[in-house]
Amino acid sequence: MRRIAVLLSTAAALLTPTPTSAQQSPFSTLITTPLTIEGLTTDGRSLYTTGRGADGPCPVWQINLGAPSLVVVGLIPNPCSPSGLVFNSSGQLFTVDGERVYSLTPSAASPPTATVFASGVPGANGIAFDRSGNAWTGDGTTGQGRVWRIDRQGSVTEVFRVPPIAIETTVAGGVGRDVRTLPPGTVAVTPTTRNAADTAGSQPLVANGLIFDRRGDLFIADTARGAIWRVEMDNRGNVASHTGCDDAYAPNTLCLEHIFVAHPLLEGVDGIVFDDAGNLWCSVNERNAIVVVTPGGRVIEVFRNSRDRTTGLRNTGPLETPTSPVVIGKTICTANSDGNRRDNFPNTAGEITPVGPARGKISCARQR
Amino acid sequence: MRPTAVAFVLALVACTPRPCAAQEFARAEAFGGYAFARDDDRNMHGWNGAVTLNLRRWLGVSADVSGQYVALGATDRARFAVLAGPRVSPWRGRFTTFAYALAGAFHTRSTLEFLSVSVSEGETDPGAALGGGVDVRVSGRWAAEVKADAALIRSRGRTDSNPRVFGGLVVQFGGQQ
Repeated sequence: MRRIAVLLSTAAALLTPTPTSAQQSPFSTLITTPLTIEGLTTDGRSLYTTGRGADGPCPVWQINLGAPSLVVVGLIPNPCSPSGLVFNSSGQLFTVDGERVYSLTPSAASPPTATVFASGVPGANGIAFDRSGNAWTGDGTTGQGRVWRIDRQGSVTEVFRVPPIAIETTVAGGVGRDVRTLPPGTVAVTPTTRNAADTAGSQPLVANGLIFDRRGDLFIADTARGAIWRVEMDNRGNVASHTGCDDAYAPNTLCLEHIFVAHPLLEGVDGIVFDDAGNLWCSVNERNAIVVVTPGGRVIEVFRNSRDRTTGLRNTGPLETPTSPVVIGKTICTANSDGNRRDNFPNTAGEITPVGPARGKISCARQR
Repeated sequence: MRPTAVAFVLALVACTPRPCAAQEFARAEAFGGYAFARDDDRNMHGWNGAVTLNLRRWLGVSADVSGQYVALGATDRARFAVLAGPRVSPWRGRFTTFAYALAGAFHTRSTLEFLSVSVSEGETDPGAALGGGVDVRVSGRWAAEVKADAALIRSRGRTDSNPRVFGGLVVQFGGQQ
């Protein structure tokens, strides 16, 4: 009887799944890139991204989901560090870089060099098109919260502002908050205090990724607050949301009532995209996480890197600073830029590193 | 008192039109069939059931329930409607045309399942349906029916119009031409 018990327990031990298989990540690498990447978009069949910081022109890559390889379909003139990119309804690809918006029609046979579509949008980061064919972009790390509309002719208009984290006043440095990311910022941890030890890691970005929903309302990722703004548009594409509630801000600043959701899971939110059902998928770069916001405003973490038991860090992947999500059917992919901050610090760990050979990657997960 | 009541009931029975006599329309009709709906640019498929009580030859009151479904990537969505209102049938015969105006509620339920996440969310909104259709008598109490309407759903401060088309069978109760 005792032998049978031993045999049974041995068999049970052999049949029990190993911890490795049980902890296998649902996100896997679709492809790595020799340059850092940030933006990611799709034409419904392939993915598109842009290399950053090339010695020459920055490549626009097309990646087939079924047989992934980097196919150059366009070039951004040097110096270049493009971020968000998106197609308009005519199949033209637009990307933002510094204070410019470039456009090109992708071609693998003869990759064109992008031309300047618009300029005068300092810090431009995300880009999206409304139903009337106007492009919209925000001012990214400049942190003033400006959001511009760019008409079909490339004329730029500042339409409204997301409230900045700190208000510029007669007090030097403004009044408000300074959200800091640790690392690169550090605090002096003692038994009695956790005060800042330096000024590194300031995160003023309030107008990051943006996207329109099916109704035509504009949603904006507020990286610093960990929030999503919803800006209502009327039938003619004009902003219907209230501005000017607080005269400490610029008059065209959104009222706080237009925050759709604010949640700690969204701290460091970067690129955002809607799926067909109206769920908003968010690449949360500072937390190495993918978060979804339902149409009703529920915030759910779909995936976050697990913590390494030895180092206590989440910087070994599979996500390494996810920046821009794309949803195709039941598949979600995200670009990874391997930033050297918060959950991804130090970025020398993981599959992609600052010295290469792989400096960026696209990770995907599929619901089976 | 009791004889009076009996007399009243007898009189009522005697005066009630008999199904096979001069009755020109069914007292009640029940519909069941397939339902198609557009939601933005998406096609939804499902079912529809309705009961109509005919108060006059040309006027009835309908109660209508329906459900349509669609898979949107990792999200399954269902929309149910419970509506009621008047239905008019100006011409009756082998082909009976009708129009209706219903009001009630639409409930939309979405269930997202991705990796280990499963989240379900519902929203109930007031709405209405304006439309019409035609019955074609097949035999006896049975008829085939097609109808179409515009479902007007008031959601988050806006009214969306979604076309719907239905097809199925009708069975009539209570009276025949």
